[in-house]
Amino acid sequence: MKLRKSLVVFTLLLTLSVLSSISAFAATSYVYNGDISSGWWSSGVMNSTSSCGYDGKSYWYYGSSSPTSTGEWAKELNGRTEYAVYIPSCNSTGSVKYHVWYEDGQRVDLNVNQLNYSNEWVILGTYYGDSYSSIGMSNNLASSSSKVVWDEVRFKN
Amino acid sequence: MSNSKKIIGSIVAGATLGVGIYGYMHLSKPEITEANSKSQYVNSVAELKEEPIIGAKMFKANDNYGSLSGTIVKTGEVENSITEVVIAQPDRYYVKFIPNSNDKDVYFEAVNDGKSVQIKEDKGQIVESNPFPTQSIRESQNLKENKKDDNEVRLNLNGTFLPIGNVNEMLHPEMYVQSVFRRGDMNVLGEEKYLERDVTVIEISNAQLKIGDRQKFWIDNKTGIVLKTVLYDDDDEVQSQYFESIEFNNKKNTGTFKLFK
Repeated sequence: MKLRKSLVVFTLLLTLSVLSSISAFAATSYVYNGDISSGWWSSGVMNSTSSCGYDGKSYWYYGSSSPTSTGEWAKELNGRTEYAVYIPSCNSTGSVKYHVWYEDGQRVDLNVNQLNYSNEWVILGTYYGDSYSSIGMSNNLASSSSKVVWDEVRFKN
Repeated sequence: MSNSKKIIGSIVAGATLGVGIYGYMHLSKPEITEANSKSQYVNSVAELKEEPIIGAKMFKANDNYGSLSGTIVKTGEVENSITEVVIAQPDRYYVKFIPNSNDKDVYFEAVNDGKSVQIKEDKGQIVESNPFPTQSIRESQNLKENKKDDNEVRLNLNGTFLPIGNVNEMLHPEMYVQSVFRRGDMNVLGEEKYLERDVTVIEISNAQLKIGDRQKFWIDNKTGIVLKTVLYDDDDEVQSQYFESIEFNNKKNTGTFKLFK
């Protein structure tokens, strides 16, 4: 009887442990630059570096008057989600426009000067995410002498 | 229960626990690298807010004026840029961004009439987007008030956060406070006049800046808006961004927030 009781308690604890790990995983998800399986997509030319980035690497390119390089971080989301982008310490001196896609294909655009942020998450707001959710960014607002960076994106709900 | 059942049960339980712990430790967090493993901040937001111009003004800039119009110039890159803005709190704006002041025929425009946002690209193409969802604005305000110190910057997302123009940090200066001000040593240099307005001058050094080694800010005493900022390398000015003109509460601007089509 005693053994049975302790087995039940143990099983409950295990279930709790597994569930908490699953929920922790589900609550925060990352899309990595360059990792198509995590939701990354890009077009145009980008340089890669291993000298900075949330996971130690990132993509960058020079600013341009037209969008020659575009990156997008997509994730299937469900409900209220905080969208954030990581801006590392290098290759990020230009101004960019982040497109935030959320519920039913709606979009807001946010202009952020990457020059001001260094190894920091910049939170782009909380939106209702669905299967169309993503963040996109091109290099066309930055001066040709500046660099813009595509690093990790975080979705937290 | 036989011993073999107990052993099998323990192995299954142990493996499940192991998978759970592994999942929590590895799947929920990406690899932490040297670049982001230690905090780079030397000031907390609470410490910075003790400075009156920061706590009472810079963190509440949107609340400190009804409308403004002005022209901002950025120098120090290959092309100098010009941004013209007209803003009416809490949710209307018009902005014109000229990336290269030597070629004023190439420009972007954006307008928010409170219901819809339109961006006119340099080739005249009009792109529609949405104003910030009211719920997002409320949550942004609440989070800003209750913000704990972490390695994160929260944008002040009211309806006047611009999609173009490269001037959001000047108009929403708490973004500077949460990043550059937290990372460096702050020195309040005093007060002076800029554009005939009273300003407080603050210098930030040792802030791991990407350009230059120190940055100076001229902050409007009434609103908290950054009227001018300069990056220096030793004594050389390497980049600057400043209002060339600014006017508050001019009612003539009310017709400016008309959508392009």
